[in-house]
Amino acid sequence: MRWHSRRTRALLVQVGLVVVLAALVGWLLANTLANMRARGIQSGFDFLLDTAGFDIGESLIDFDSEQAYWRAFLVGLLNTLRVSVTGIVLCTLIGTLVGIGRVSGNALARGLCYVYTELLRNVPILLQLLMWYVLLIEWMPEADTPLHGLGGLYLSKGGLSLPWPTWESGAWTSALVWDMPAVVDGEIRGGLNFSPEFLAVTLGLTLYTSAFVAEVVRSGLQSVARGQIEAARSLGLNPWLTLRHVVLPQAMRVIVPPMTNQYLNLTKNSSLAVAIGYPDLVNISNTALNQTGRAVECIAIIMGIYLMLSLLTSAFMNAYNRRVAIRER
Amino acid sequence: MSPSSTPDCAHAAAALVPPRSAPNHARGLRQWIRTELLGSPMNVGVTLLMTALLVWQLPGWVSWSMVNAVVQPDADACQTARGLGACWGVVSEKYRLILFGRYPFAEQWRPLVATLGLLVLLVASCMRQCWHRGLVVAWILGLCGFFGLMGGRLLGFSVGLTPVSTDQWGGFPLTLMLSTLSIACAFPLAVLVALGRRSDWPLVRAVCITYIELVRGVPLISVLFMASFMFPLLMPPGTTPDVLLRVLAGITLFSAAYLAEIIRGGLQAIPRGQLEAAASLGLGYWATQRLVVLPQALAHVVPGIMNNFIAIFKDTSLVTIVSLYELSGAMGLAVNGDPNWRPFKLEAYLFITLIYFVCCFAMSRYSLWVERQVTHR
Amino acid sequence: MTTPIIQFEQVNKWFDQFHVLRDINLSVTAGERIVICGPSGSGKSTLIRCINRLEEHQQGRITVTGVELRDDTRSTEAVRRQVGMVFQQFNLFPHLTVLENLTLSPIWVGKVKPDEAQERAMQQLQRVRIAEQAHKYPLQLSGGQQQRVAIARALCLTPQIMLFDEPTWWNWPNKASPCCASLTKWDLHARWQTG
Repeated sequence: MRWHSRRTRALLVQVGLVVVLAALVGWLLANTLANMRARGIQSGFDFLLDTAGFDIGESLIDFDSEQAYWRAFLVGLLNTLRVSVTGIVLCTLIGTLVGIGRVSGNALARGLCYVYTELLRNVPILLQLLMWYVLLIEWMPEADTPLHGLGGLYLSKGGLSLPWPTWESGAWTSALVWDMPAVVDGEIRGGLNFSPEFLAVTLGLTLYTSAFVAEVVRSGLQSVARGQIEAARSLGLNPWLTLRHVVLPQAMRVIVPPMTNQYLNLTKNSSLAVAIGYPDLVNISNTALNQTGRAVECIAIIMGIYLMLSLLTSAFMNAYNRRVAIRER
Repeated sequence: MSPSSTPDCAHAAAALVPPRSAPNHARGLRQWIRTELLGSPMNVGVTLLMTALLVWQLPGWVSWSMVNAVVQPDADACQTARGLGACWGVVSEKYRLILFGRYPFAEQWRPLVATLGLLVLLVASCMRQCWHRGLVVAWILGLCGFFGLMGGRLLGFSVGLTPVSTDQWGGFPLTLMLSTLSIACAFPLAVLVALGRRSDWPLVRAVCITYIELVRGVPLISVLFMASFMFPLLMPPGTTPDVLLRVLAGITLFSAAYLAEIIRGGLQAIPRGQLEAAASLGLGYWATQRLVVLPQALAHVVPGIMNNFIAIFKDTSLVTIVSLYELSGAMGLAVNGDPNWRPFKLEAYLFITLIYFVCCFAMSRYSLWVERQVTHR
Repeated sequence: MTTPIIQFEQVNKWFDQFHVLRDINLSVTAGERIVICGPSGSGKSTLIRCINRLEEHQQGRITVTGVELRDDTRSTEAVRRQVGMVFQQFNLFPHLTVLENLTLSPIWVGKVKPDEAQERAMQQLQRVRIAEQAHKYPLQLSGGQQQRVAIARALCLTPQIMLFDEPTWWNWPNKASPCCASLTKWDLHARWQTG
């Protein structure tokens, strides 16, 4: 064996790396097992089938304390997705408008959009979430005298209520009717309800991420070389046609990867809902961890689920990138 | 110029028109208003909308936050002004608790001096003139001084000041320390991981990619939970690592993954020719990296590193969730426990928002300035 | 005397305080071929960019194909339909194929049917001897090929006036270059015909 050959060296280093890593992992595992034995903590994922023993404030599927832990985790995941999807849709809309405003021809729009993005980007998201929660919990009127507007909108300490179409089947007919919220016995019943926790998390995440989306859109629009726009104009295309056929297709290639990153960040930031009490995945996992003591398993579940969401998003983005890549030599 | 005849260069040179100054109406406020605010129907509409928005909101905010505001630390005056004016009295009453956390009241000059020292070091590190060996020495001394002042002990030896345990450290010094130390420790790790990710050796590359993708795919809160709950289990039975150390390790591992990706971007920008030139001069792998590749790559990504620092600075606010009372946590402690001041939580939040905003905005301005310097070379 | 197709009268332009075009008077009749030469920074590009209002002049009058260039989008767009420009950097649209680059304006501005636009585009590509690259993307071509595509793209609109900004590879009137030969003998000494 030649000691100075590159292949030998490569082999030795990699084998050495594996040995070191294996030794490290082995030592950590030994410590963990010893510690768990000392504290009487059991290990294993079988706790997921045990009764949860706690209620969850809001849930898309029905859940009560008699049901199993795995169902509680599912409720948490659905709540996380609920906040994330709403946030992603809203922040894209707001962020795109603000991003366009930043490069528009109107100085007032440019200035206000600049203030908006700088204000929201330079303050931690946790702080923004807490402030929105304080506003919604302490500065809103009580549920029996809510803010009322636009025909069916109610806003109070109890949250937001909107009219929602529901399918009502009577004796002979079934029809789509509006379920209007109304003040009954000092609280608001009916319609589509959003708790103040959900509102605080969604509002905070949407506004915070929209500032970053605005920057992404701005840099995407500015990345299209001025010469492209001049060529389009000299060919007679008006500003709208230029935007549609020349600027946007090229800008989208620059915008989509960082935009997907921001969507991922929003989803990960939704984990901060634990500070407000919104029952998202991390919050429920925290409760389960405190009740069962199975720290390793609960944290592994959270990390596994978030990792899966990230990998799915990355795969989608890579596929999109390959499809629209500008072909070069 | 007469196009139908052959250009007569001598004639052209003799008839050169002297330059004149631009006419006044080409610039000026009226012209600016016409183009920027009223250029087209859509423009006019937008201007009207924005002006209406400002007129509707701005006077209310100004009167609430400044005109009718209460500045003295008087809880009753604040209550009477509730809804009309902001209660900045909560800040004048509680600012020491917010800024320094649970640190013993009499000794609060120590975190003040320590923080100022760290700030001076940070600002000095941002100035190009200070980039030489002396800076590294200054940093080592500065960090020793910081820990000595804050804890009263250094590496186990007392320095003559009252010892203060780490669970009493809090507020702004803690925020600054966590951000600075985690970036400082993450940096060498990130360089190694970035180099490993681009290595030809499949196993090394696999390990680095796994680490990066694993850490970037999960939220910081789960890493902090892992640090807080799992690290004690991973250590030999009987040892309980300091909570500050655990959190620091968690943030360091987290920021190293993001930093590695940023550095990798800089490494990718180095043209192949540089490596070939270094190889032809007889430089080995590590010499090439140290002398040729890394200096160029790091210069490229200084703005990216700054952005990472700003992100970590903001992310330190999360350690409140694992019971370390940095700036926002200290504020929670100060205001939540006092029923007189609890209704005025919003004003206290706005105070720390201002601190964060000023720091982060200054850092992002600096990062933009650095980026302009780099692209103009 | 025939009406000039391009007319500059006492045209002055400033970039901030820099007086780049000074009292320009220029008259070009149809069929003429003008070369503007001068040292770098003397305003050559600025002058021709004023013709299709990519730059705005501050004093004087510019009339192109009978339309005066003013701060008015309609007159500007009418003029741009009659003026074709080949840029120094070509500015081909990298996300569209060569054929799509050529048919973009005829379809969306000229309201020509797609089949007809494609046929006309292929004719122009054949004239500049690059028809076989019709389905390639601009960044897949060499610099010289990209320039020919840029010329064909401008020709597709059958403009009355053609502007060339810094055609440094254009070794005309070098008749040895096949592309140049076909163009010089056919196009530049006569008025454009439609089709």
